[in-house]
Amino acid sequence: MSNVSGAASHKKKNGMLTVLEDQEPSILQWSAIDPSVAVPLVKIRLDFITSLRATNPNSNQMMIKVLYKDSSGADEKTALFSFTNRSVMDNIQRTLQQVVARKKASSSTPGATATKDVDAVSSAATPSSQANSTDKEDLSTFLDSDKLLKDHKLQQKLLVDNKTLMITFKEAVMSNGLDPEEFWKTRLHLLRSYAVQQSQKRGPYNVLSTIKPVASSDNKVNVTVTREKIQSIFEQYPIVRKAYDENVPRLNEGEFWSRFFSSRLFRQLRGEPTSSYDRADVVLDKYLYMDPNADEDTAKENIEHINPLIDIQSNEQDNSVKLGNAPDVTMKENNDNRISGIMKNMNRLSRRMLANIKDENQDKTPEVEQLEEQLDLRDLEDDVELEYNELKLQNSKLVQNKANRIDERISSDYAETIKASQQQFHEPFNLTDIYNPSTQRQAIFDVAKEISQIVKQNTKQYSQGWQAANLNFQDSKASTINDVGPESLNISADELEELRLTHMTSIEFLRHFWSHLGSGSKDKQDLLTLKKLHASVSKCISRVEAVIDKFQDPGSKQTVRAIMQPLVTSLNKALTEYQKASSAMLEYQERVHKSRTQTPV
Amino acid sequence: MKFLIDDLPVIFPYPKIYPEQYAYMCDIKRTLDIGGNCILEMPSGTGKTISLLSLTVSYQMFYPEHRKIIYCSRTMSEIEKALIELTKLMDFRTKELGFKENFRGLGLTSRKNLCLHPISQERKGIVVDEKCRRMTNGQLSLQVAKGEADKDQLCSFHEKMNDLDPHEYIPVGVYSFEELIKYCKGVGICPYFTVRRMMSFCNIIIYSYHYLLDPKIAQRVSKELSKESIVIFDEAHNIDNVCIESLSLDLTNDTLKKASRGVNSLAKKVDEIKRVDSQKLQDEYEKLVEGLRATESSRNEELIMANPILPDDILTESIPGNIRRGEHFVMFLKRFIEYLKTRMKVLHVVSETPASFLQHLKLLTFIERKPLRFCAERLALLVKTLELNEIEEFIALKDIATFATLVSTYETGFQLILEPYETENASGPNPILHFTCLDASIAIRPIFDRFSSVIITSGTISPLDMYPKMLKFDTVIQESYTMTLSRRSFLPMIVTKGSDQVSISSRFEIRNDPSVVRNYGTLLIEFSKITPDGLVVFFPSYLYMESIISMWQNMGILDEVWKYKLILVETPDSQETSLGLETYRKACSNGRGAVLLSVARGKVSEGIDFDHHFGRTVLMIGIPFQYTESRILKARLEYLRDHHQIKENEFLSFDAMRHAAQCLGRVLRGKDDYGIMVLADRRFSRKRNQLPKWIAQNLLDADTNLSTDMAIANAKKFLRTLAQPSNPKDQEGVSVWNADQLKDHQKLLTKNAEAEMELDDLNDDELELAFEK
Repeated sequence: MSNVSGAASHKKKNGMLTVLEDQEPSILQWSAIDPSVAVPLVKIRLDFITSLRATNPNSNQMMIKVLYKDSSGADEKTALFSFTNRSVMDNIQRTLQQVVARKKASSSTPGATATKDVDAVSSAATPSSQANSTDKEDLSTFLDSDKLLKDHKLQQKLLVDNKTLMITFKEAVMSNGLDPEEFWKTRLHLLRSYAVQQSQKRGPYNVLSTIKPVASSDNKVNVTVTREKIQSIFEQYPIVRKAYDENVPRLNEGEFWSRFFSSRLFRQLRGEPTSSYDRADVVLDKYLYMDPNADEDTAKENIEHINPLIDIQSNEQDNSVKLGNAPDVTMKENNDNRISGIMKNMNRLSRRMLANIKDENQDKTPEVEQLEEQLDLRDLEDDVELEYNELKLQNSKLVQNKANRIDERISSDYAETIKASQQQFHEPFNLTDIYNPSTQRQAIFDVAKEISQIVKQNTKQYSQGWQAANLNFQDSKASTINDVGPESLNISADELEELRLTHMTSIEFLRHFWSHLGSGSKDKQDLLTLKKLHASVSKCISRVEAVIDKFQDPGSKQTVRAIMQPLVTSLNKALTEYQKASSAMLEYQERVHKSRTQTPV
Repeated sequence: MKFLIDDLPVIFPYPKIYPEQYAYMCDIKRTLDIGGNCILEMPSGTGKTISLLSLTVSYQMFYPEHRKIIYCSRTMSEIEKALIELTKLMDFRTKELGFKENFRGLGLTSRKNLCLHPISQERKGIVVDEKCRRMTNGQLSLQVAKGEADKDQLCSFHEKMNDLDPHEYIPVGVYSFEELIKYCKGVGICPYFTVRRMMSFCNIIIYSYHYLLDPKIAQRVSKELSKESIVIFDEAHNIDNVCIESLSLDLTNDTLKKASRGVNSLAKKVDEIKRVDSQKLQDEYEKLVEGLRATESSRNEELIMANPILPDDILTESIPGNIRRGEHFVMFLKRFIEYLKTRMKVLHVVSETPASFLQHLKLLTFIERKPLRFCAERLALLVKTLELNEIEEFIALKDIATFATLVSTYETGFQLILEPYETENASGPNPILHFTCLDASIAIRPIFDRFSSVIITSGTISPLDMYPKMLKFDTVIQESYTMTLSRRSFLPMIVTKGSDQVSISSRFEIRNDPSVVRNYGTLLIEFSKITPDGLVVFFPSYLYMESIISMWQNMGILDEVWKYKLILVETPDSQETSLGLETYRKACSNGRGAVLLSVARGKVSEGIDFDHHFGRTVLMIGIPFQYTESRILKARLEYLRDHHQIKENEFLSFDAMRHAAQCLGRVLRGKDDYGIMVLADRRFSRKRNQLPKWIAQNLLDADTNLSTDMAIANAKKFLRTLAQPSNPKDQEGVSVWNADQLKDHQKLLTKNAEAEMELDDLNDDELELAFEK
């Protein structure tokens, strides 16, 4: 891509005006043809240009006035160039306008239209490896309950996401002293599924196809790009990364990106046709001509072993003396670089997107077997017999008896029904009877009437009931249909909330209590926990009583007591069980002690 | 399972069988018993190959003649598949019978695909062949013995085989190409020569059609096969194209230039030899005078050049006098090449018969027809004594000799077409001389003449009677089987219009119309949204595919597809396409999903399967007609009309539909597989009856004129239904038989047959009665 240049005269001397963008720093340079002139060379730095003025297209004169600031930044100087060729002048004018516009845009908008991070760029090299390593970590984390229990961050996140859980946690652990580890031990499944959910990542997708430049009102074109998108661009198109690495210290980021999105390189990578009318970007379009595979591992791919069932090259080589006629023009290899470039681009992009995914379920079976499997006709194989695991019950006699009893009950029910129905049918029934209208019409009419009456009744009831339910639903302010409306109970919503809270907390404690009691372990640590839980359960009872006492009104007190009765029963049962178990334990200990102290004679 | 067909015990490697597989096997057995040819159309995905193999192997092993099986398929990938299935079959037979049978099965392909030596890295297969020949013919080893050449120049893999007996090269059994190469690498012998030399000991040999049809190879490879052998052409719907290809060739200025250089070097060599060792040439001349054909060495594979014409057409006379002397022959060749060069300078299209070409040739150069017929043979002899260093030049010279022999041997059924410009708008002339065979029956005639039983089979070979007409042979059985299904496992649909009710078609006049292109694009987007895993799209030609892709890119359609699936494209570069296919399969397997854009007559549709999740939907964009402006095609159509009474439109339509059906059939393998087949062109609704029976039967009338949204709704419903697991009980007895059900069916058939015979007998008795009366 050559630099834009044209013949122009400056201060009445003929010379060549060139826009040198790929130099450092970029300059606008005019050099006189005749070196003996007073000022043979004029150099203006592009980033010092403030504005441009050009003569009217209709006028005969063709001049461009460039206003620029000196290196000191103080004065505004002007340089006047006059042209003889309209097209040359237009060319240079356009280029300079681009430069100025770019500069203006990049200086004001690093935050607005493009959010980039230098960190993002540096980490662009490692996202794929990171992704893979975290995959490994996560998998082992999920399976390891200890790790989950220790992962406080995860637990916190889960609590933040799950409100009900948070409430329970607050009440049980923070207010009433339940051990947090206890809390989480029974909720490992929640932690695990949450961890898996969090670690799911979205796969790579074709980023450039989602970036669409939008023309805005004031003749500018806006492009929205996020950090992640830029990372993906770098991953999917290493040529862009290369361009970035080579150019960014020189140009600032904003400028780089705005130039990139208006360059031919961008359009070609997207697969759009590029015409010579598009504005070409000197710097970036250099990369158009570089081989996109330059730093690629295509060499590696060539050696890769290709599945013999899809090996097209071998298919072609199967007959070495094949001559035949050349294919017609529609089937010939088209050497049009543009279109075959688009197609190759798509293939390369897809390949790259899949390359980062590590195949964890890789088939380790030898290739021959894999191929055989592929060719197998699966439904001609024998049906897979369902294998049942036989459960061996310990107290089989007990189960037997119960089973027998159930059978008896069922059979006794049947026996009764059969006896009843037997009594109903005394007359013999003629099965070959056909419908005789004279004798049976009346009976049929009666039955039909009865049935239609019942149906009418049912529909009435049903529609009434449905409407009633509808009304109820619309009226009630409760969050669930099954909720008991607070109005019907003369209790305020807050008080109900409190009751609920107490209930939930008590259930939580009860659950832990029962799981520990049921485990039957005689480990000292566990026994200690059990004791603690027992204490908490007693506290629960007292709490419930306290809440109930809050209600002054005897009417509501009764209702509340009734509501909380099941909870109280279960709490009391828990206490009694504990008593039983602890007394049994004491007995056992005494016996052991006795047997120890008693020395054998 | 094991069952009997008449008296033949057949061992089938699965515990169950499809009813159509049984019918298929019965018909094949009948054909083999009667001794004749048959055409059988067996639906895709119903285990055609394994049925074929199990029946023919059982047939071979049971009957005392032990007829050899020659199994021909289209591409190397399909041959590999057949070999793997055969391995499985033989393993099963060993298990069933309790002993390992003395059974050898091998596959043959080109040297380039089988060679272990570094010369196989050469790009062109023919160069590999030539280099191999130079290393392995007797001359080089003679030189080494004399001390003139270095021992390292020989091919170690080939030399190692001299220590072994042909029986010992490879143990008894069936080997796929992969296995063969692995084994030979381990032992250090050459896989190609192993197969070539063991072919006569094999029970079954599997290779591609060319090894039987192309005279240039067939004579070397398939010479010793007995006429009792069973010949099977699998996936034979394109066999007429293979026949035509084997007798056609193109000549370009490039070839002529290289051939010129070659003939000059040859002349120089002849002079050299005359000075140094004229005795050699003299001996050659003497032999030719006496009419003795030069005897070839016992190792036929080192033949320098095989005769490109059919064996029956080779003249048994002695080589004519004017080309007996080496230097005379070289002059002869030179004159011929010069003539061809002048012909190529013509700037208008020329189309003439071989007879007129020869006439003009004689007029200008006095070259007669007879010596031309011996060109290939004479060149082979000459080059035996003098070796040309430049392989490319030598190959060009061989092509010229092939052309000369072909044009002079055949009078009818061939055409010469000179096209000075490649395309209509080409700036400069790039002339190409097509020598094209018009008559597919020429190349296959020797097969039908020589072998008694030829089985032609494929999944999509409708209409069946077109092939006997085209290839001029008779059949004893022509049958098209239908698929028995318990639930509809594939959904063929014909989409004729887009959602805006604009008809969609790939008709030449409207194919670039933006609304048509957009409608196709919407169809693609919608199907990529709802298809799980893999979606395959077929276009009629590369040109059309490229133009539509570029238009789609501008419309933003491909951007939309990227949201749902990865996009892969088939390119004329086969290595790139293979990599693309691997990526495609990987994406389908891991859930990402991918779309493959390929061409209906291309390399992918020929040999690659898209079964199960690799292809859940196949989208046929337009009807894959050939390029009707092609002069070669026009010549062929005219010939078919005149000689075979096949109308042009009939043939074009048949050709297009068979390619379309072939693409559709790629998605099914087995009855538990399911797929959607979409034919997207308005003209398909009239061609419904040209689809194979098994597809046409499953195509409901309601599905023959759908718009895009209706098709999508159908597809969604279908996919939802198919996602439910099928109850194997439903299939039992209907689409799958176990051993008992098969026996019941056989009993039923015999009862029916007996009843019929009784009826016939009865009629005879009645007749007698009548006569007596």
